[in-house]
Amino acid sequence: MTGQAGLELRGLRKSFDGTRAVDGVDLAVAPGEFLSILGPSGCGKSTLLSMITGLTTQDGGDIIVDGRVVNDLAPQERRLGLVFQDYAVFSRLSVRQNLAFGLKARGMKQAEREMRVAAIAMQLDLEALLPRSGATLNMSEMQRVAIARVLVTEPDILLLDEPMSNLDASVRMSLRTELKHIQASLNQTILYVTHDQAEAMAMSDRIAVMNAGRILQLGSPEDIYRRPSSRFVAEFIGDPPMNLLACELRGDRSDGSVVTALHGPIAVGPCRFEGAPSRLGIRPHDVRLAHDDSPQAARTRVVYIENIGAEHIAYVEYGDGLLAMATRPDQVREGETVSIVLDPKALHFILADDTVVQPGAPGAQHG
Amino acid sequence: MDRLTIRNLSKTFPGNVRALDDVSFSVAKGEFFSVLGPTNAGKSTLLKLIAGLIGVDAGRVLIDDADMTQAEPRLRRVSLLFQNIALFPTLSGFDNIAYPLRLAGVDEAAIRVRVAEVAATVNVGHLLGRLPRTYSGGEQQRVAISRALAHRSRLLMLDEPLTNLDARLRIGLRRQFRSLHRDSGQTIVYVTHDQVEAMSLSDRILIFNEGRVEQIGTPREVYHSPATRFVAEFIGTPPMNMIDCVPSADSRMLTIAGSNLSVQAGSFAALPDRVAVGIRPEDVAVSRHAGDATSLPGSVVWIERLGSRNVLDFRIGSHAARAVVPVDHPVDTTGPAWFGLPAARQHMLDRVTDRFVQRQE
Amino acid sequence: MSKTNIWVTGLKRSAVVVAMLISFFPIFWLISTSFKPYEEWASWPPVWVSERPTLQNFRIVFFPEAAGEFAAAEQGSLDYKVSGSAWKAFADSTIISSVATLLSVVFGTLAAYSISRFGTGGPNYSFQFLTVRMMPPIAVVVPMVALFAVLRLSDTYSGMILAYTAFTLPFSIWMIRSFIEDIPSELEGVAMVHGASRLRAFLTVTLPLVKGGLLSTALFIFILNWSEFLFALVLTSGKIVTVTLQVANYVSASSGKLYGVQAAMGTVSTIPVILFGYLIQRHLVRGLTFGAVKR
Repeated sequence: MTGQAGLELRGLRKSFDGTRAVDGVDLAVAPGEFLSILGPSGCGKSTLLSMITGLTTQDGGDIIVDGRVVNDLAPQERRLGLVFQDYAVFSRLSVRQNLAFGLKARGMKQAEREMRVAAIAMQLDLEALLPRSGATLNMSEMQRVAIARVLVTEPDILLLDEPMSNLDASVRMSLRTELKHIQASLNQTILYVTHDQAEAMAMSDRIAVMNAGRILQLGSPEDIYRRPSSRFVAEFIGDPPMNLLACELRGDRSDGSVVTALHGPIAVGPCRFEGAPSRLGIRPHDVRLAHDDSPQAARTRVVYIENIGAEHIAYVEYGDGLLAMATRPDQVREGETVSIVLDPKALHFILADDTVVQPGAPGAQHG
Repeated sequence: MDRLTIRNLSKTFPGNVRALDDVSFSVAKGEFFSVLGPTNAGKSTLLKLIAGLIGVDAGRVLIDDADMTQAEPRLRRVSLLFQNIALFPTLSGFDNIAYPLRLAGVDEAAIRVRVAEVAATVNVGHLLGRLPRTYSGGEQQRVAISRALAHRSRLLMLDEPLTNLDARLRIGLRRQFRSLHRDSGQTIVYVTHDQVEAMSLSDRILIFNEGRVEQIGTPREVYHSPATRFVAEFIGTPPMNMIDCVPSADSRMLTIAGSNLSVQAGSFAALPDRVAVGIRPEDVAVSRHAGDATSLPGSVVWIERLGSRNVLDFRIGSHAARAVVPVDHPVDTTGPAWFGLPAARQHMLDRVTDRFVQRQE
Repeated sequence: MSKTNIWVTGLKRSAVVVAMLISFFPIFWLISTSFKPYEEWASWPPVWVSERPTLQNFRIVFFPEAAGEFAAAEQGSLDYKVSGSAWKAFADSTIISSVATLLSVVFGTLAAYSISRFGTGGPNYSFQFLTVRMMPPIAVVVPMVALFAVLRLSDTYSGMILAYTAFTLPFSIWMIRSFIEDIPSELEGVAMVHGASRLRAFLTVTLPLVKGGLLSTALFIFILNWSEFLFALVLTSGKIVTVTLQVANYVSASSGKLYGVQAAMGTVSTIPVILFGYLIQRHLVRGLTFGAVKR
């Protein structure tokens, strides 16, 4: 069935002027899956997408769409649909003409073209828009038209290249929902490239975090959030970003505890790694207010509060820096002295080689 | 500068494009004042008018009570950081930052000290010998920021300085802006379309739409007491839910439009016929059981798992809305779901004027 | 490669060769003819490269006295103008073309800046300006002659410079405007906000960046002026001689046009233009703003 193909990348490589833009990427996207490639600008994700669509030729490696190796096929023969960053809806054509464009270019007869356009318009709720000119559409309509224009050619896989990065934050939310809707109703395989971790988290079945040409971690949003495997991933995912604290590991590795600048020993689970951790990571949402007499509470002063509306981020003194803590609005005040505690189930150890392990609470399952 | 006052500023571009329509506000010394609105709302035009790069059609610009409306840019002594950075391409990073100081006639030794100072605050000291075209996006941004800061001016204006950057870089630079402001006490006017940025950085926010002022207030005020529908839907991630409904005759109950579901209203004065109840996603009380008179049955369509919290896309009748719940919340896409709109958290919008009705205390 | 591919490539390649031949042939013919003796100038079948190359034509160009020898050697008399000095023609052309080019570029820059930054004349102004120039100059030749007579500009340097400046201004405005548009106005804005006046901002920020564009425009305008014939012909009556007129002067009552001498003059008069182009090529650098400004 169209739209439900899988994509496989094996050992994909590409260098420009001696720099490795893509450095051996292996990835498998399941049929009907929404997979995001997430990374900062310059990580190679655009190059990767360019190779998958066929606009750039790889130096090495294979691209397999729906079981066929497509390395030698021209872009239009690969049965992929690419939605560009600015949608590129033809402003001088009507919506109907926009949708028919690709089909006309492929030499499809008029009768069949009209049938397909009508079908996709119904699925994406564009029927009312068909006669309108491309120049008169708002952002949300443009996105639907751009996607419909691609879907009408019945691609095996839908590729989107940072389609929302130029849009206002408020418009992005509704576009996200629409895209998920489209995917759910058509069971379309989607590969989505972005640098916005909130977007990737919100929409994806799985996320591939990419940096410096390599995929650092592949997993569900929850996996990547709770169990980042490298420092880069830990710092990249989550807003506000993870706090990194100097720490000291004490005691027996199978039954140890960790000490930080403010805290007494916090018991942690078995630590199956060598050497001392360089940092302790804890997300602002895993730092909580506690009663003064809680066993592992630390007393500290609130230096500054950031009001983001639904929640407040309190910055408390911690060693020679600040620790960010998420609170409900007005739960604490600037200058106030509070007791805080770190959730032992949500600690991360950043090791010397920048890998990350989660020790979990004592008695936790083997990782 | 003690005060910037803008009075009734209007500007129309050829082709009848009304960029600014009777805009008035004032900024106090040391304040971090954000101008927040969608792209192309006229925010950049506002900054250029204040700086004197474009002429006004009507209205006045007063800096410290002196009328500067017709004054040349260099007499106004304000600093402006443009959206597209605009570093001089033929000058090194150092010379770019030194430019305003050289124009002001500062001697070379003092220039060297000052440039090193500002460059250190945004961590670009090591780049200064190179040309702008060798910089990455983030580096260009920071050098441009240094240039804007180099010559201490009475007003620093920043036009969407973080918009073109990666999400992660934005968060880091946001922090630096904040400490910059706190340490220097500089008066800042900051233009952005990102409401999280505006909320987290500002003392006060001006919300701007299609050339008009929607509301001016502290982050708390615009969040908890939005004046218009636009403000309510623009601030907050996810934005406020607005559900059309019809009030009962005594304004105590609300019937959800297009259904026979009713919910208890908050305490408002007599309500107009056409209203919409506004409730922020984090105020929606989600549960598997029916609650009190403010609870409505519905179904969850999709759950967005953001790591620190979940966002539920749900439906009540034919209305779509969102709720924010903790990560381990029991309600899911199958099974019963009830959504409460607590009376104390309701906002009431008059659908005719698109403005919010005052709460009755 | 498939059979059709070879044919297609072959066809494409031959088309290019033909185009090159057509473009370069006149230049080849010009240079070749300038070395031909009298008999070969217009012989049939045409002589491609002279079998008896001579410098006679060049001698007549540079040493008009040699024209006398020529007249004596051939039959018939020569037009008196043949004995006019080519050096004067070079001098006149240099003065007129250089000054007119300078004025055209200076005024063009001012106008282009105004159109670009202030929107003077509306969004299509530079194009409208250009369309006026699309009218063939020959249509205004008669009024121009009358006007020049009234203003006593006929056969004067200032008259010629004025005419050339006026007729090349639309081109320079059009070209320079596009170069100025490439420079974002925010760069000047930064300078002004930091204390520079608009003029200073323009001189210190914009001008250095459009320098290459101005020079290439100057070269283009210079070529137009240097090779202009029509106005040189009608607006002068002997005191001023441009190189184009000088070429036209090489005629004799009996021998008709002295092609060889004309070719020699033509060949030599391309040298200043090539020299100009060579001198400024260093400054024709693109992409100076690359990387310093985001769009």
